[in-house]
Amino acid sequence: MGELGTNHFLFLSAALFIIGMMGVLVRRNILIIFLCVELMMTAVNVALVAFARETQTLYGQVFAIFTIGVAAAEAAVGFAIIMALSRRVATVDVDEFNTLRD
Amino acid sequence: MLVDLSLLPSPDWLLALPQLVVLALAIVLLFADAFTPRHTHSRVLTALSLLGYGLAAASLWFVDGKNQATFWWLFRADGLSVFLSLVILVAAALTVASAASYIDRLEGRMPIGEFYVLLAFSTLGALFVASAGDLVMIFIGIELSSLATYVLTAFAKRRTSAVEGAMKYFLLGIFASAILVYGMAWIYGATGTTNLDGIAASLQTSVQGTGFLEPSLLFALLLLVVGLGFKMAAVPFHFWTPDAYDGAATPVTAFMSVVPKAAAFAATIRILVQAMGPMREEWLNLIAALALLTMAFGNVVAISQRNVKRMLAYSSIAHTGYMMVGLAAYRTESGFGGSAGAGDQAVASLLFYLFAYAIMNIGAFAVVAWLQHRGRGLTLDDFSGLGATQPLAAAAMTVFMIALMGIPPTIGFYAKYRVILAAIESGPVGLFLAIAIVVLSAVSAFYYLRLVAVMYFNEPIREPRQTSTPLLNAGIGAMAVATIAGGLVFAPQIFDLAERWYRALSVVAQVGGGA
Amino acid sequence: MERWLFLIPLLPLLAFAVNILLGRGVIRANAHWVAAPAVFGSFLLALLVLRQLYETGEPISQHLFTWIPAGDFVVDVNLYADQLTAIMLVVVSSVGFLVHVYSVGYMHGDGGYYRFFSYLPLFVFSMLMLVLADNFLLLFVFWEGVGLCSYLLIGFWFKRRSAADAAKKAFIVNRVGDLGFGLGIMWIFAVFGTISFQEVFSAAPEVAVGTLTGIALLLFLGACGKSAQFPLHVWLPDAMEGPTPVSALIHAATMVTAGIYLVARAQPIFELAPTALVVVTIVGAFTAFMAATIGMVQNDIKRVVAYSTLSQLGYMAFALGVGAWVGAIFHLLTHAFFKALLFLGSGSVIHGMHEEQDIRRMGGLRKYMPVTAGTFLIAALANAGVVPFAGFWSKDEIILSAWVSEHQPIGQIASVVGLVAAFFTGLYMFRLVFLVFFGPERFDNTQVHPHESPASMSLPLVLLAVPSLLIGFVGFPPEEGPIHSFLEPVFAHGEEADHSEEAPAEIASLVFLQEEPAGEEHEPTGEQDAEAGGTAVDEGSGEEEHHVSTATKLTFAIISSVVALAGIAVAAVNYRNVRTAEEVVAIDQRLTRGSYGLLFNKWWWDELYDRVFVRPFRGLSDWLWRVVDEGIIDAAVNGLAAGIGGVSQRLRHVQTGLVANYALAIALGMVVMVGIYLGFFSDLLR
Repeated sequence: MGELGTNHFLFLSAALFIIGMMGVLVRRNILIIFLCVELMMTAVNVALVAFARETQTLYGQVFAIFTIGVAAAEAAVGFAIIMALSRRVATVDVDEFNTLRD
Repeated sequence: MLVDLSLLPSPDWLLALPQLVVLALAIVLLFADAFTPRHTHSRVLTALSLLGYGLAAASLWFVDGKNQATFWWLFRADGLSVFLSLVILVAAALTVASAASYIDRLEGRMPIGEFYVLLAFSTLGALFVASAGDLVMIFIGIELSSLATYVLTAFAKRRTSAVEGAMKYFLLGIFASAILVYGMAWIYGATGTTNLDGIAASLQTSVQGTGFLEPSLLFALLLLVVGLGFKMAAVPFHFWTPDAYDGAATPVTAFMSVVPKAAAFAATIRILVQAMGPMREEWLNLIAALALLTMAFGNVVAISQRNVKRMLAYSSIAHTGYMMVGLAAYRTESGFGGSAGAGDQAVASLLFYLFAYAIMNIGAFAVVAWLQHRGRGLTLDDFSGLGATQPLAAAAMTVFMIALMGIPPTIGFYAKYRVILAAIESGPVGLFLAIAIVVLSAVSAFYYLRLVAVMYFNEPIREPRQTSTPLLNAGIGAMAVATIAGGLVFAPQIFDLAERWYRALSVVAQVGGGA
Repeated sequence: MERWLFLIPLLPLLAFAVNILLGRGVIRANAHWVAAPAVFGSFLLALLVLRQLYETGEPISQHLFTWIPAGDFVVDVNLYADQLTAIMLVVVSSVGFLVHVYSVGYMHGDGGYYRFFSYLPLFVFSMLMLVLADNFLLLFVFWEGVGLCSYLLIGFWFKRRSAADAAKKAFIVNRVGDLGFGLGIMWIFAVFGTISFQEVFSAAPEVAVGTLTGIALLLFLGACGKSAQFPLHVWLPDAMEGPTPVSALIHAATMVTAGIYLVARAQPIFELAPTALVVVTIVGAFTAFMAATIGMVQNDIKRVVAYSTLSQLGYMAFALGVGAWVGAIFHLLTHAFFKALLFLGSGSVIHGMHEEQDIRRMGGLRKYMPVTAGTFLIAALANAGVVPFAGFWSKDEIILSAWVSEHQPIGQIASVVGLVAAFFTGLYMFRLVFLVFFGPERFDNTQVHPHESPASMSLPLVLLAVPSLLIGFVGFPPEEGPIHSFLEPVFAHGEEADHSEEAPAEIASLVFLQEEPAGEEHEPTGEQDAEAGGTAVDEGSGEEEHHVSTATKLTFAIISSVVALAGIAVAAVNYRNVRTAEEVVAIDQRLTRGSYGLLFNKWWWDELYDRVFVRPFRGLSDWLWRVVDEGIIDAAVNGLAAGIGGVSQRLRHVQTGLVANYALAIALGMVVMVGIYLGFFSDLLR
């Protein structure tokens, strides 16, 4: 356990991923849910970079850069949608939005 | 692993022509939106869009039959990408035809230029997925397509339900994307590459070598199936579908019921069949189980829907199930990189189904939009007596309904027939799925025919508002004709085209072992 | 023409599509402007086809698309036009066009005007496709297509109970025949592995005679249904409930001849199945005789003509049976024109008499409607077979061919029956003519004001009178006319096959092939031509055996003329001057003696079928309905439907509208999948 190995990164990644997922499932605030998904994306990036180190290839690092870019784009679109929503209904609680159902 | 970039071959831009055309279309639309005078604005942009998709579809002709990879195997132009691009472009053009007047007039005049730009970017993303040769490309393409679609869903932003649907779609969408990309990361970790052919080659050796698969691969596979299952709306990952479809403006619903789904199936075929083909024993039964669940759930719940858009949403879930049967019936003897064998009928049937589905489903939504133009709502009762007051619209809707039901002589019948045929040939599980398709089609007849019955046997409730929608009319007519002509005449030709997807698997043999 | 063949059926199809879609809202009373020109276009193209075939003799074919590619079972949609098809095309499109024109006047002001002018071109389309089909399945599809159109048009005035019933009757009786036809096609596919005409016919000689006989009989069962041959003849007289133009087009000139066409088309099969041919002969001769006798005592003008149609179809059938293939098609051709004329004339009379159809309440109409009377007379003479009207040439040829055919003694019996029926034909035809157009007026002319029909109706009458008078000359001189040489290639096919099978070595057929052209080159005399013509008619017979001398021909021409004229004379004596309706019945009874009841009730066939088939069947259906269907099946299905509906109602609430629940479903789905896979299927935990 002495040296920092790939497994350590992977466990970190898995932990982040599960924390993010739990956050999505448990939290009610739209913004928090959104941030939890970002946490999951971060977990992905950690895993990608760890694998890149493990396999001695560059694919993972390139992939991670793209993932960060995509996450930024998601943020832009997401905040726009949340803005539009909060203009109509002044709340950020997802459970308030259940007019579309059944 | 550092490479001297000057040694790399330069990319063959011509192979990416359809994508480049659509990209150019998006940029041109951005400018045209700003600089076109007000009174011709809508017409110019509509014409530009139709022209762009037409040109892109025409440019497929240059790509067809090339079967090459370029951009260092990030980008592939093969039979699969050609057929999927065709489906996507046709769907995009049909969406433009059904959206032009809707966006311009209903729901408080939405900005049509932005709509078309987003549509073009979503289409572009789907086209990238169709031609992807690498996990990174697939991810970027799916995200580009999805992000544009999230915005499109919220496009009727004056209506709370639209934004609510978009919010649900968005939150769940990025959640699923995270799961998907986590799966991709694990695949990369297990195989050391993100190139599809490289993954296939690596899996092939590990399958042949020990017969033992790393659990990490299985884990990755399941994460991928969840992510892709979400995008294609497979049960139990489908929950966003009815809400987003219901909330979005009708032409957007038509679009998102086809193009993102096509992109999802493109990604699924690329990943599961092309890259993970060697470990198909692991995913075939999983897909079969999901397919059964999906079509059963979609058909059964559709019965209790009174809102036609929600009914069509559940019906589209059911159709996802039928298409997944085509995937689950994939049984190729020769493995990846081989010549066309027994398994290629299955994926070809899926592709053909996608084509048929694109036409008949957009057609059905277009008729709904047509009625909204005439002051009617979305419930079953709004269709009362349509057969008496608007016989042509009712006839078109009937055509789409019986096509979705899968009754000859429509294209829907031929598509379902092909899927069933492939399923039966694939073995006992396939036979069971084929029987399930037939039984569930009978169930689906209930809600499709109920709509037809309401149109023809109920009394009209009120006089329709008079309005003129020439492009929408032409689009509906073209789709109705295509639905019948496709089933009567052109089905074998289209199926031949779909069967060429298999050459995608032989590209790797030509370029010699992928990355 | 190879590239434009598809236009012939396409034009009427387009007319149908336009009228059915836009008829009610947009086109309305102008529907004929869509339908009639389309059919006329088909007629012109059909003439071009005829001309090209006449000049080159090469059949025309066009591949449209592959319809069903299912493994070995491939159905191509090909159009194929040989000489036989060309004649049918011209008949269908020309009579079709004239009927369209006629209907403009006849159907004027009808509520379903656009509907009528949609069904009519649809029928023309189906009929044209039927004769253009190049395989059995395609033929069958359009066989059903014309059946459907017939159903729609018989029941055109569907609010009238009798019309709806007649339509159903026609449909159901035809199902019996179609069942046979369908089984025949399946058998053909099972034996030959293909359903294409050319491939089946060229392979036919290698198949056992018993099998071919079975196939031929099944095909003939189908033909019986469509061509209303005994015992499936009962629907045709009832079909007269439809509008008169429909009766003229479908139930006289074209659709009912589809059965004859089918047998002629399948000639290579029938030729190899002598037993089947005997059956065809017997059925045809019996139908010809029976229908002629019934026609003598009927009082409805259209029914008399309908029974005459039955009788003439019987002639065609037994001509096929005795191997007079060309004779049958020749009679089909002439009959189409004069029978269409008779029907249209009847329609004109009915129209002029304000929907009166009972001939006992007519009389002396010739001074009110001279054009109708004149043309009707021509058609009646043609139907009775009087020199030189069209029907004479073809009917005479059939009787002669039957007498000299190699199928004896059945041929000579049929020939005699044909002559007897010809006597009755003259009798009932001119009973009709005298009762309608001559003698005193038996209607109340203060109430009824007969008048001549408008030009759109009388013009087609005149145009049809021309071929009724002259078309017989395509068969002149008998057995050597243009029609015989034109049709020879079609029916020579089977003959060659026949010969090559009979001859033990191939040399024999080679000799045969060389002989004929040589003979024609060196001695183009009348004798040799007669022989060549004779072989075309007397299929498969040895050429020397049945050399038909000019004397024989002349004898038969005289005999059949005398017989027909005798019938006319009897009619003239008895019906020329009948004053009251009761007197008509009295004369009928006197002429028919004790058999009046039998004849008036159409030999009791309807009643017999009612007792033997309809009632027991209805009893069975009742039981199935009440006990099996409602009690068992409905209960099960309704229960299942209710069950699914209930499940659906519950399941829809899974969609709670809450994002958290949706995300949970995704996560749970993933966890369950991971659990199942890693727990049970992988090697991780083992």
